[in-house]
Amino acid sequence: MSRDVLVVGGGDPAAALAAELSGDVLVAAPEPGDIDDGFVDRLARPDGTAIDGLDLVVHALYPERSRTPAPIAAMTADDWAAACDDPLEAGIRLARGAHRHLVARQGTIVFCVPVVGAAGAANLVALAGLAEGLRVLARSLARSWGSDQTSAHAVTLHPSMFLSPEHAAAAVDATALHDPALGRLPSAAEIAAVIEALADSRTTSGLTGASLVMDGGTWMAG
Amino acid sequence: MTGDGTTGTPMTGDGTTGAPGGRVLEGQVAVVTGAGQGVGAGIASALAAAGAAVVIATRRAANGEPAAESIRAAGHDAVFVRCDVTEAGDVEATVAEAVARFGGLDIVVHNAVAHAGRPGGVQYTRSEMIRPQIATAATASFLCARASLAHLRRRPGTLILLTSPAGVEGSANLPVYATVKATQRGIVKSLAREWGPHGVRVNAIAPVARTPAMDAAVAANPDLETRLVARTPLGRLGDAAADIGPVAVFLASEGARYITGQTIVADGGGFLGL
Repeated sequence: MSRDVLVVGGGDPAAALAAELSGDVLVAAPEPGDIDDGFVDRLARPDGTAIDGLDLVVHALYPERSRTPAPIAAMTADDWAAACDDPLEAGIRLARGAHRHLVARQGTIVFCVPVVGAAGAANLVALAGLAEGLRVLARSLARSWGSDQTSAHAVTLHPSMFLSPEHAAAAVDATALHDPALGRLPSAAEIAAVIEALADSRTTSGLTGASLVMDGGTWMAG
Repeated sequence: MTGDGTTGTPMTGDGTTGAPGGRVLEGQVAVVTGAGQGVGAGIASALAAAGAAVVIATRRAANGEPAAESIRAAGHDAVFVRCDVTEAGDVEATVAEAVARFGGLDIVVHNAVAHAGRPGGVQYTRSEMIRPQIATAATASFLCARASLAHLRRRPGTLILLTSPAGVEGSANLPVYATVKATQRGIVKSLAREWGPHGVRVNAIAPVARTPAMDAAVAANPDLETRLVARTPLGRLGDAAADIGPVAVFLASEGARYITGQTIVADGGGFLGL
């Protein structure tokens, strides 16, 4: 049986991770509003066949408006919905739709979240709320899906994986006391390797609900 | 403002404010959403007892009016304002009413919560129960923050969001509730960074207390209370007014002037994972 992987999200980190993950990797880059409870059922492999099970789902869906800094007082209700509420609902509905496909393979769902959710960042309140919501969604899924031997995790990543260099630098300068302990940030290949390990029942069958911080040892938050 | 740029009553050497009767919030004005019952009502009564004039902001006059009357009957200032926290116009009007009636705004407590529906995994959550929970937690936190910032900056004041231990540890049976409560924690941490330079503090309280919602859950699942109490070192469920209200009073008081971006878990010690 092939190893079926679904990566959901446009741009990085979704694209960078999809390029490094092994197996039959399907990438979907919908708008949050496109994700309803039947979203996964409607997806098809490149050869047109329907998805009938998933070994790994990687969520990294962060619309541009989530990644665009703005003081909360300057945001409209539409800005807020687009940056936080809509993608949060999309994450929940992706999980609902992916559930039966993951159970069929005793698979794994991994939410990639920016560290701003755990560490906070001025002018990125909506992104932080979205990130922290998704990080804890993974824990809730782990608790309720564990009896099906289906696991859920969160991987917390450096802001540079989500934000423009300028905005990432601003977030780091304003919040980080320390330089990366490793002296560098992890590569997409290194992050993908950890995600694959989380989905590998030979090595991590006893692990679920993990929240791993891969920020090079900068915040170590979450 | 005091001479050192802070607000409120100066601290005394023993760490108290020295205000008579523990009225550490004398002269302050608070808006509490979802204050018609439960934790919100307990917080509102505690803030009022500490000297704050309180706006009871809730959707239903049927519980909002009695909650305000109860506070007035105890000799404190309170008024009910009808407010659907998911409606920007309602939130802005509530803040405007607080300022117009009491002369400013020092404390905003967003406590209102949507019904979480029947317990179960996320795949079993009724579809129509998802967005209202997001709106009441995330959208409403945004609306409360946006509407109050200009007023809170003037004092400067404080914003408190009510989250939950489930917003940290997740929940097998209330996954959407846990998700939106975690979202509020992310909001708190980032708003604390954003508003700190204005002197406005932002914190969260994660309570476990006996409320009408808790009573209903226990009625539906009689073992729930036993299990909750068994995992609580202090051996009982919290009381909204006596156990949770004083936490809000503290976070709003001068004693918490150096605390921002934090979640205070007030659950008798049941959750120790922070």
